[in-house]
Amino acid sequence: MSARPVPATPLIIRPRPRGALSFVNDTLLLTRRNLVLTMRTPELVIFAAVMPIMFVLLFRYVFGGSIHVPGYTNYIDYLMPGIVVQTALFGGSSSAVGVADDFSKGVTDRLRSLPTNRAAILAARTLADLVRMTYTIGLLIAIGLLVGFRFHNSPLPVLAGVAIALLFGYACSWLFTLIGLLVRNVESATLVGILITFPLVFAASTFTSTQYMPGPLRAFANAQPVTHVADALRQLTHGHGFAGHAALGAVAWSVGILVVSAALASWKFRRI
Amino acid sequence: MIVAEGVEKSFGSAPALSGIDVSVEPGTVLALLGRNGAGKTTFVRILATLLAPDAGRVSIAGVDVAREAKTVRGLIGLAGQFAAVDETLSGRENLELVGRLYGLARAEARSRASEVLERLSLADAGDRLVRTYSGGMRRRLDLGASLVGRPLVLIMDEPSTGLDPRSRMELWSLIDEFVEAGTTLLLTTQYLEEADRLADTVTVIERGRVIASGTPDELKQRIGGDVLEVRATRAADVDRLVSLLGDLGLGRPVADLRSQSVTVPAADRVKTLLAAARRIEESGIPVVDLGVRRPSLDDVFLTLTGAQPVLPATSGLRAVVAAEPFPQAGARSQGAGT
Repeated sequence: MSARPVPATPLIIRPRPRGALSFVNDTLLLTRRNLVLTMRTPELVIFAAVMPIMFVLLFRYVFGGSIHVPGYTNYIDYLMPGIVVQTALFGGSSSAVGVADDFSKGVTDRLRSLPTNRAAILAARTLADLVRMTYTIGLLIAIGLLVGFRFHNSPLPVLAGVAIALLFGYACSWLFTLIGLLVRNVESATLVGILITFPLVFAASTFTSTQYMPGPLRAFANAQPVTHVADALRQLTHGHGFAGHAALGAVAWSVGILVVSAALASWKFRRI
Repeated sequence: MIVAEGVEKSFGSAPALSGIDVSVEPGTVLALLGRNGAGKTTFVRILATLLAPDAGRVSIAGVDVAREAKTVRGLIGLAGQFAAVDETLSGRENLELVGRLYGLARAEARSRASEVLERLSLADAGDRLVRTYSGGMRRRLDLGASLVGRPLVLIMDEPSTGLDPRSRMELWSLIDEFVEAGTTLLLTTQYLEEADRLADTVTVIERGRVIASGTPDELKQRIGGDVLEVRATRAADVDRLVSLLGDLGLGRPVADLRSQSVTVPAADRVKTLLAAARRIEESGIPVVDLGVRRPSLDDVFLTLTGAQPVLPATSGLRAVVAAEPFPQAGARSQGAGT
């Protein structure tokens, strides 16, 4: 069977499963592909985990002693939600590089020339990001617990908080997919990723309260999504029950980014 | 099998294709010959449903590429300019994934992957990661990926670019096999040599227009015949060679002092080569190289676009021709063999 040469081709048009079924099939196939590619590149897996862990250790032990945030006796309880959100954002930003890489290697052309569900190509990219992100954030929280981080709330609100962070990361994954589609080369994608993520992470409540920042910076920090999501996660891990209103802003930002980016990315992908 | 009529495409205000007509009969090979930027890849991307044309119609096996793109994608196999395979998957995994994306069941995708690996002499390397493959193997695997779906029409964009001569030969004989098996093939190339070797019909495009189309022989007649080329060991001998070979070919010999070579248009490859060899031997002039080569792509373009034929032209143009390494090298070894 295996050694038989390909016969003179009779015309067989194989109808593919239409619509939702092919979307689900192809999304799962390509998600698996994206994850296998990551797992077989150990430096990626390690780097994805080492970065946030270094941030935890750096801020916990180097800067932590001199940072005091009102309302928190242990700085680590303030810090961890910030780093979780930072990790979600960085995790999402890897999509830009992945999309650009597939483009420059011709993989995107190959996939688009197959009778594959095209929506599945981007969906798989972001889904794989979400899986990687969940792994990194899980690892991160475990490290946090080792160095003194504690959940002060009951499990349900904590899970809701983590879910909001993942939703934000997933939305960012679509945003950076869109960016990858716009720049289409790996170097630019990396650079644009850094230019966008750094201000969002540092001009925010990620590592310290925004209240001591100068006026305009504080206004920016209080308005932008990273602050909203980090504050939401803090309220849900450090507060009581579902008290606090930050979750609303966080979900609104995330859904907004998700819907707009996914729509634009799909539109752009059809017109490449 | 492939019919394109009046295909136009612009990027912004820059026209890439200005009215391309192409027709490929079932089971034949059409080579789209053109320089970088001539519009070859744009045309291929339109055929492969990756790009929508601004105007014109394209159909494959009677199916309209723009309106029924998804059906067309089930009929074609595309091997692009890059080896679009995943480095950290094995060859087999790459092919199985493509098979699954064609909509094949797992077992069928698996057996077709084995079939294709066998066929492309990659069976032994099938379970190794592509990372460990040579450039030629990657290109073969990429070609294999376009075969998993058993396409009716195979589209290859510059299949031999970047391959060493041996891998190129292997690729060419593989292409022969596909064509014997009944596949219709459209390939693009920058090399006349390759078009000559593989194609039933050659269509030459330049700046988004078809400037010539015909069988390789028809085209070569339009371009002019072969060229005898001698390179002297000493620059001082170039003038002697010019007078020695003066009445040998169809036209006046042209000297290029920079490469210390003399070229003469040759009416008959073998006779001209033998006569030149005899005269050079009798004269005792030491030469580095002697051979008959086909006109290069630059000769084709200069002829077809109505510019001066390259042979009696200035040494500047000769330098351009000499700068294109592979067709000359291939042709020269052929010439020496005859």
